[in-house]
Amino acid sequence: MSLFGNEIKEAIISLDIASVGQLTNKALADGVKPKQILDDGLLIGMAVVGERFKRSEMFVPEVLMAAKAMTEGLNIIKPLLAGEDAKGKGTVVLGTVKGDLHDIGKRIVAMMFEGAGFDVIDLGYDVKPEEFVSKVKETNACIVGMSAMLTTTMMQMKITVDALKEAGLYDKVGVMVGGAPLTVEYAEGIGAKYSPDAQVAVEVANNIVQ
Amino acid sequence: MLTNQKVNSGPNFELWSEEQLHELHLASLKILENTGVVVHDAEALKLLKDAGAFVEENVAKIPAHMVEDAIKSAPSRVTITGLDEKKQLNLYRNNVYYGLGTDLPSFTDPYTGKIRETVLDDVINVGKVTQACDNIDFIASLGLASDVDQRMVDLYHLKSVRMHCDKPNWTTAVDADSLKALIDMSAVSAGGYEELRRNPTFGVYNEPISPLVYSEEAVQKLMMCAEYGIPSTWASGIIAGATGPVTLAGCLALGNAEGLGGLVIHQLKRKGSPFILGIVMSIMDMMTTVSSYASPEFIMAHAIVGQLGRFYDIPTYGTGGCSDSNVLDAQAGMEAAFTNFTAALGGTNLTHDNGYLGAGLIGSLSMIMLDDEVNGYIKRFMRSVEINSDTLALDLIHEVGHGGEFVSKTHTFQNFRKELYMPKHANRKQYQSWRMDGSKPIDKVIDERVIEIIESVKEPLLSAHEIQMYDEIIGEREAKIKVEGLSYV
Ligand code: B12
Repeated sequence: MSLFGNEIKEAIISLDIASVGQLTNKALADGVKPKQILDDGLLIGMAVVGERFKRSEMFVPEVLMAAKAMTEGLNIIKPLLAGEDAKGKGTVVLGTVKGDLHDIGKRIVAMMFEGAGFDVIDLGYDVKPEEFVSKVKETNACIVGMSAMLTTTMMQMKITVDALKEAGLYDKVGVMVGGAPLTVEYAEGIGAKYSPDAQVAVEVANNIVQ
Repeated sequence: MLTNQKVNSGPNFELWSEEQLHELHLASLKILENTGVVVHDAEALKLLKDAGAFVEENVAKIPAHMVEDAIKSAPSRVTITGLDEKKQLNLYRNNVYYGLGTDLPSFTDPYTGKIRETVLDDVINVGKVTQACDNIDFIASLGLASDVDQRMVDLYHLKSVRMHCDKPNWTTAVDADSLKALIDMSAVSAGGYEELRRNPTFGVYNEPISPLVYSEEAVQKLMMCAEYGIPSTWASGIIAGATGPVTLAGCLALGNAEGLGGLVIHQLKRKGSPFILGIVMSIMDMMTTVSSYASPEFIMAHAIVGQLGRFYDIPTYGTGGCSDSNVLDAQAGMEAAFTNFTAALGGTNLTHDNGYLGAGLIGSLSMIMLDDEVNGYIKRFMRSVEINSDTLALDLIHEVGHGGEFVSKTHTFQNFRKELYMPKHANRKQYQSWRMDGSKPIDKVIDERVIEIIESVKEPLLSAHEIQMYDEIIGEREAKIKVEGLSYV
């Protein structure tokens, strides 16, 4: 692995936001390709952080800080990425469903997705089915994620899935769901993928776009 | 003449000093004054504005004098009385009661042990089991029945728990209309609205959204409680490290500010209405993101709430008898004991969430029974060791002398029931006799007793008249929901 890549990777793992920016600029000045900075530095750094999180060596606030560090570098190289490379992993539209005010779990999922290299559009809470649909259409999203914490609001997920079908979008977008009262069975029943927490959510999302 | 006699009739637990409580209080006042709260309700905003709050759009910044007025006008003692009026909660200072929590979507099936969706039959069984537990002082639905209309699930719950249990009720309400129906039902049993106001039979768990947001629905329920004299909390479910600062003091200051802001609205709506102060503060587990129901931090936060209540002289809301474990195992036992015991030490008056497993997602009848036992130990502990000439028994000691025995003495016969706690379920059999009895661990013993109770209790405690009136109120609500075509929320 290239020297600069290793340095950037290490800066991400040690949650050193300022250095990631500096090292990225330095690498660019030295003529390293943006795509190479992304693959050999930023993404690898986040992958290591993800591994350590899984092994309980790093915790949520540290993972989110690493994500911030990665974004610092990503923001610098993004305008320079060309063609296919510029696309990144894709756009995820997230929201807590209509009638539901539980918010923090979905926000954490949003931050983890950003850390994993997705572009995230968070529609907030109390989001109507048609709002999900129009945002997915508008942004050409690859994933739509819904959160529901109440048994009274869970069925908004099915209504939204139906609305996506109606709009002819269901086959183009991966539907992810999460929240305390949900089960794998419920998710499968409505044609969505379930994640019990943000960590699994990232794995599920990566599988969808692969 | 003995002078300066000080008797400790129990432990004197203090996590914080009065100075520290005062510091927290000032911090909360500052939050209300500087940052204020978002209130999504026009009537509440008007009440606040008219009383001197600085209101801009829907942000209300509440000056300290308004908060201190509300603290003064809130009653220092709140009662909730069971349908059996001997079963009364007298919530004040260090008087601690235990009871269940509400609305768990999953339930442990008493027959198979499988965790599945909660149904209304589970809630009926909660009533049967709770009635049989004399160390559980008040009842709540524990489960969230999935097999009835969710828009009025609270009405089904109230009827179901009251079917076989006459202890005071604790509940959530779906919305203001549903709360009105709960009041109507309770007025039937109480013999009118004035009677219900004088002797409320239920209390309501209302809550803000951290950080610093009051939803319209919740504020309306809070104000309706004030109007009808139904005890209410405004207890923030703040999560340290997620919806509040990870530093516990800051999280408590914020949670307390949210609670006090609600108290102001409540007292402005109707001065002197019964309020229960609380901060149901948990922490977010930084590995799983689960909001833990039994962490040491959670326990300390609740102990401080108890102290804060005495500082303000307002009754408090506590949490205990709950566990993050998904089954009734060693962890559940450890956490049930730790949380309920420290609730007693902290002196939180209305300690809810007994019967909770799975970090607030799974209800269990057996967990209620385990908590009942835990609370038996605690109640004995809190009666402490009484010392006087009778309990010292010096005459008896002298009489028995060297090498005698005490078991056959009248003194033993007269005192043993009072002095010794007799476990209901805990094992004290030595190994051989335990083995001959089937080698059952405590969870197995309790599971079997649960089945005995739910199968043997048949007769409802509610009168035929009450059942009929309850059904009418539920029917009316059903019809109204159909006519209005109300959406789920
Ligand atoms: C905090 C909380 C609140 C707060 C929320 C504040 C906020 N800013 O979000 C407030 C006070 C607003 C609240 C209100 C209510 N609540 Co509440 N609440 C909780 C509590 C204690 C914790 C939830 C939480 O934040 N956990 C921490 C976060 C980080 O975890 P999480 O949300 O589970 O999210 C993770 C995963 O689920 C997953 N995930 C979540 N969403 C998504 C989405 C996608 C796409 C993916 C992939 C993954 C994913 O990843 C997340 C990160 O790892 C739960 C209890 C519990 N055990 O869950 C009750 C709970 C959810 N609430 C409950 C109830 C009943 C209510 C009220 C109805 C109470 C009332 N009567 O007023 C109101 C409803 C208001 C409304 N209309 O929404 C019940 C729900 C029962 C049910 N199934 O219907 C619960 C289970 C508690 C209980 N047993 O009573 N609540």
